[in-house]
Amino acid sequence: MPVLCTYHYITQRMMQVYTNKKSHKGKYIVVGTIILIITIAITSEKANFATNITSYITTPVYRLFNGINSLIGGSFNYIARIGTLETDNEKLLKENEKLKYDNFILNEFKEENKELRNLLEMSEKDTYPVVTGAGVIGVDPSSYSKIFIIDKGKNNGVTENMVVINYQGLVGKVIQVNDISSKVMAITDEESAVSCMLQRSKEPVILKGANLQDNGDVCKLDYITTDTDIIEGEDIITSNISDIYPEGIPVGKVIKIQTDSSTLVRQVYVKPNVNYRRINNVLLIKNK
Amino acid sequence: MNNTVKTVLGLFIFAIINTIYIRYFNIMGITPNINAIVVVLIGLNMGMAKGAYYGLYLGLLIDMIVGSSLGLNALIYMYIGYVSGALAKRMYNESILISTIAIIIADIFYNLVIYCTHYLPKDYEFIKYCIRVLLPEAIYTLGLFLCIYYLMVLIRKQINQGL
Repeated sequence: MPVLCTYHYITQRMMQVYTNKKSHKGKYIVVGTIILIITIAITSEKANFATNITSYITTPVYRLFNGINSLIGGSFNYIARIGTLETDNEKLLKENEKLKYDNFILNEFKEENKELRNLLEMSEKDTYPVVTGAGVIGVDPSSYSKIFIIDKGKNNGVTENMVVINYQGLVGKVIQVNDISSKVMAITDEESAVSCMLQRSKEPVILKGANLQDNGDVCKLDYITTDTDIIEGEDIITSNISDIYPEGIPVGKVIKIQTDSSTLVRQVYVKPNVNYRRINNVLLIKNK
Repeated sequence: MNNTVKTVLGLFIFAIINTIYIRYFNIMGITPNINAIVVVLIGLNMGMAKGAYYGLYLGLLIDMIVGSSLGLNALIYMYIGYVSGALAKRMYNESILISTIAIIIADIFYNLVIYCTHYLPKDYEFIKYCIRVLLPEAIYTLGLFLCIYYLMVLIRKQINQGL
């Protein structure tokens, strides 16, 4: 009975919307819905006129807010750290000395590597050619996607599918380029798929985003069979067979391996090296 | 300044601030749907038509700033604004219960549409999505809404006492 009454009310209301001149709001909603469905169908992730115009208006406002943010945050940070400045300074000086020594040793290895490659007549491996640095100015507010906005665009040489890294490792790739800003999809996004390899065995694997697992900052490796040589704590790097990503960029570490006895595959979870909660500056490098 | 211009500018600034500061509200990968809160409040207080228009406007802004396709958020928030306005017309008398029901329905509706468009085509389990995203986000959004609601009531009381 209540179901019939509800049904009767809804159909009566719908008749009223379409026949009553006073209820023209309902007609506008229907027209609006049809127009929006068509717009959804014909637009995609690629930049369009609307996103470009919006980026010209929103990017300066982003820069203003982020500037204020840095000023206030920086001031508080400075005041909070005044007491520890001396010890921090000593610690940094020691670390600097160690890094200088490590850098010297690495340069020696680099020269030796170059000589050996020349002997074997192998072409020199490019280090990652940096196109530009960029600041993260906004993130997608929804829980389901891991997309953020950077303040560089077409005018700065950014192109679609450009690889984004920071000092910790692989961040993601550019998915939409406007004139003065771009959208970057993190590797933890469910739509992301990166061609990687296991650092020890160099076996190729596909790393997919799994932001709906655990706390949202996790990836997973697909199609790992039970006879794959993989251990917890293993490093994952970008592979040499990817069309987009240069080889050897650190991606993350294996944190969990789940074996399902009923199937021949294992679920492997990877924690990215990059801390997406505190990402502020990134580098864009040329892809292959 | 005209109320419409104020609301339009206000929503524009809000959309930008939301994308800058929302990451600080992230708990275990879940962020509250503050856009839904704003649209529901507009719908409840301004009526069906304005709720739908401002919902459409805010959704379009979100789509143009961070969205994947132009129109999805616009469509969802337009309906949220329209239905909130309809609830206000029928039942709302500054009642916390109606506001609570409106925000829960709005958030669940938003996540259901996102599931149908993004996850159902990939055969992602609905139960898993509910446990991981839908329910936690609805609870978080509701909690934040109640805080904002009581803050608004407090401010209004202070203003009325001041007058």
